[in-house]
Amino acid sequence: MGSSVSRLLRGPAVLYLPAALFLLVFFLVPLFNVAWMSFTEPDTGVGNYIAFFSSSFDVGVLLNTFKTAAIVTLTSLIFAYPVAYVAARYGGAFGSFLLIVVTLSFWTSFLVRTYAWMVILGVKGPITAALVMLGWSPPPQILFTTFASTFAMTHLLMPFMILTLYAVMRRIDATYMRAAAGLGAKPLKAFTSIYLPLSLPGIANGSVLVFITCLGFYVTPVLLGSPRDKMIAGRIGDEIEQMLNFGGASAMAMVLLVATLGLFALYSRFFGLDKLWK
Amino acid sequence: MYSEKTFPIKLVAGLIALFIAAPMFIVIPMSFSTAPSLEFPPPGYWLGYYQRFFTDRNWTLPLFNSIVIGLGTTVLTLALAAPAAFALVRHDFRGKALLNLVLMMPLVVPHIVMALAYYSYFGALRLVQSYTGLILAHTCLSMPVAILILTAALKTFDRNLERAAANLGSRPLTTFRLVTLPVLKPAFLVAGLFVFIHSFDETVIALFISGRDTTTLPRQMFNSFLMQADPVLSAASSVLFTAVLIAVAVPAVMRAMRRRRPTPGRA
Amino acid sequence: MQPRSLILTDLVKSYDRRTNAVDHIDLRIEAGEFVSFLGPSGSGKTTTLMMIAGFEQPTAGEIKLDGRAIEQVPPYDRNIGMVFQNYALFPHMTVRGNVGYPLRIRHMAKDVMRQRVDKALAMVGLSTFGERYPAELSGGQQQRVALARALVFEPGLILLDEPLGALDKNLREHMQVELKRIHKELGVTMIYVTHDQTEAMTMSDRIAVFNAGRIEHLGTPTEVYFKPRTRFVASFVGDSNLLEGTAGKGGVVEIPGFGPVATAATDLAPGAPALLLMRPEIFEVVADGEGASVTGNHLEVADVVNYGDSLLLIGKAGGQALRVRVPSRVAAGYEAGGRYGIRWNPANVQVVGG
Repeated sequence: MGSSVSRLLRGPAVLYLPAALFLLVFFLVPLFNVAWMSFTEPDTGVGNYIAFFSSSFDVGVLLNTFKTAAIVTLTSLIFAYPVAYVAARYGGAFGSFLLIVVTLSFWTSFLVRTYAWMVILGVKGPITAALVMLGWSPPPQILFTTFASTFAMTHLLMPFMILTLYAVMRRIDATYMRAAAGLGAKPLKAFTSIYLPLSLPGIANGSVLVFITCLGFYVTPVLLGSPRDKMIAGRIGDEIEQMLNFGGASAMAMVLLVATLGLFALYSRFFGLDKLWK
Repeated sequence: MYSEKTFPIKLVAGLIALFIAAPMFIVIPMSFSTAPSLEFPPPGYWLGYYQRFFTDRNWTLPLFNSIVIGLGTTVLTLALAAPAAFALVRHDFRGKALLNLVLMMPLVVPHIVMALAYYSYFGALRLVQSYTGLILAHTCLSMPVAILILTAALKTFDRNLERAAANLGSRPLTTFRLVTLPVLKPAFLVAGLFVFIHSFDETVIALFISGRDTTTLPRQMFNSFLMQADPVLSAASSVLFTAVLIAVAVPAVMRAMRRRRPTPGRA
Repeated sequence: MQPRSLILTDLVKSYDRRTNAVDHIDLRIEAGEFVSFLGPSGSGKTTTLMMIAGFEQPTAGEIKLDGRAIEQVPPYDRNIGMVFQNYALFPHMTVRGNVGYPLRIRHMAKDVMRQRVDKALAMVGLSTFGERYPAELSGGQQQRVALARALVFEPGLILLDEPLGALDKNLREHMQVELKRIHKELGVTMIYVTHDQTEAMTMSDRIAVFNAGRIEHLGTPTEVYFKPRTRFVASFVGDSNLLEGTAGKGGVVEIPGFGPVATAATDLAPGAPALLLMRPEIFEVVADGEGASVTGNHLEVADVVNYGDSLLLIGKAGGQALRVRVPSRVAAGYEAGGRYGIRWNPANVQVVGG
């Protein structure tokens, strides 16, 4: 025993054990505790799960969460791609300008950006004012709708999508496109046959990460969204704060966790997490 | 000569970038507004909300708390992540893949799940509403960021520098102190900055496990959101945005200035 | 500085315990010598250098520095200077900081340190560059800083790992001359790893030709070039014609198709196979009728390559592929498709391994 400990202390274990033990005690154990609670609070068994999946409201929330995540992912991808493309392919001052705007936005807290949309979409905000000026009376309710939260989440995650796409795109050699042109491909053909396939890993990385982030999004849907069309993170929050129903909240958390990790595992199998940042 | 038409796509990209930047053009003028509720355009301008933000205890205490928690998280995260990064890059050992997985996991586990986890776990450990609890939680969540930045820097670190130092007569510890650490300093600074921002901005867990005296700035902002009354929020948002602006802009400007230093011709 | 001697005895390095990256090397380097390790990549020359510097532990064998075994001495106590292939300059220190590093580690007094750094920088011609950072220097200047840093603590033995590999041709030739000058001035022992045979030829007192973990030939540049021990050495160093034949009487070797070739060798057993080395430049091209060739051999030229100072005629003679190099000043009107008589001095024909 003594000698095996001293052998351990001479190896790399000294270096990684502190971090590993820390995460074990303050990350994994609390997480397992959630799993444990989902099967034991208030009664032992799968009651919490049965309650969740037999409640049409909760299943609706889950489906709504997936639907919203899908819409946000697709929309942010469509808007992010041209920005990343221009920054990566043409670079220069304009490219740097794009990247600086995106980076600034990326580092600005979700809360601050959500607040901005609350102002813009609010009853006294510029959008409503514009609609009234155009003769839309009474003006439509924009804030506290599913549209508002979906729209804001798309805006919030777009910088992340752009930076992920850009990370892949800037490694696509510009000479490929010139070679394609030299071989007779028109610009659009060169794009669809060369650039788009080469940027696919970026699309996959960005989409999966944005989708996963959306699944567990709490702040924006709670603040801007409709109280009727909840997303699952907000629902878990309600269970804890208002109902003090830890068993139920834990079961929902486990459903969310399994969906997230499952998706992520599937994705790492095909792409691999470490390829992302290399 | 035939050339690709790039203007339309650049225009599209520029418009999208404007859309991304737009909200801040609204928030910053709003913060100088005299209107007590969210109103655009503002009826008049003053600095009253900034004064409130920097003097009202309801705002200064959370700001202070967030800074303390952010600094604590940064120190603890770097202390744990730096040696682990060295182990991951420079050593092979059993369970390395598993360790990597555990270190990266906080990146993908939804914050609301961890909020619930800490709410009950730290409740049992009496760490709810304490600095310690928040620092521990934020350290777990910041670990992947620090590990990713540090391992990336270590992978590109030229081991020949350490060999050269040894060859010139310095022992391993001296080499580490005089060569390895200074060369990696930028990576440590970047990792530290990212971890600090990560902790400073974290909302969901703080919402559930910070309380009265340990309320963080994001929690205070979230709550005044819900009440929709407190216009200081716009000042708080502008201050946070300006901090990010400085953090992003200063290094960029410094890089640009360094590039302007005279460089010698080829010998 | 006091030059140091180095002896490698039966040195072996194996990474996988099956194949040897360095395979039983014996080598004796005298104090003050300039020795090149020449060989293709993967031949074991760099691994050997790393073992001398202390960055690799030998699997077996002995390394003696000035008669003292040093395998167990850590690199930081060996007091051997080294110039790395990528220079390995500390990016966060100025040129002075880099060159002064070994003195700082040895806790030298500030003024002594300043003096020695000044002297080292003057030696490599960088006196005015002390306050620059490595990133602000050109490749050639970085190379000089690395050299100054390796010299400044007067190590007596300096290892150079392909130090000129990253420089362009003109600069490389210039630095070769500089290095030789510094070697002469300081009288220090230098081991120089390279895969460039010209570099090894022009600079070295002796060359160790490495192949597959072994030293195939150790000798002066002239010996290695004109009397290569093995087929590998003959083909790796310089341009060569290698002809296989059978030994006859009196040092004559019969090459199929080409005919009998007289050599200077005296110890050939008749009937035994023999490998002849005929460097392209030993040939002389003669017009038919004008004395003709001694042997009656003709070169049928398939290709002519112009090097400026010489022409290389590539073709066949008596069915054997042959390369013949003629100085430009006498090479008038040779064309592909031509057929020319050739002759050579038998003293210049070498029996490889003989």
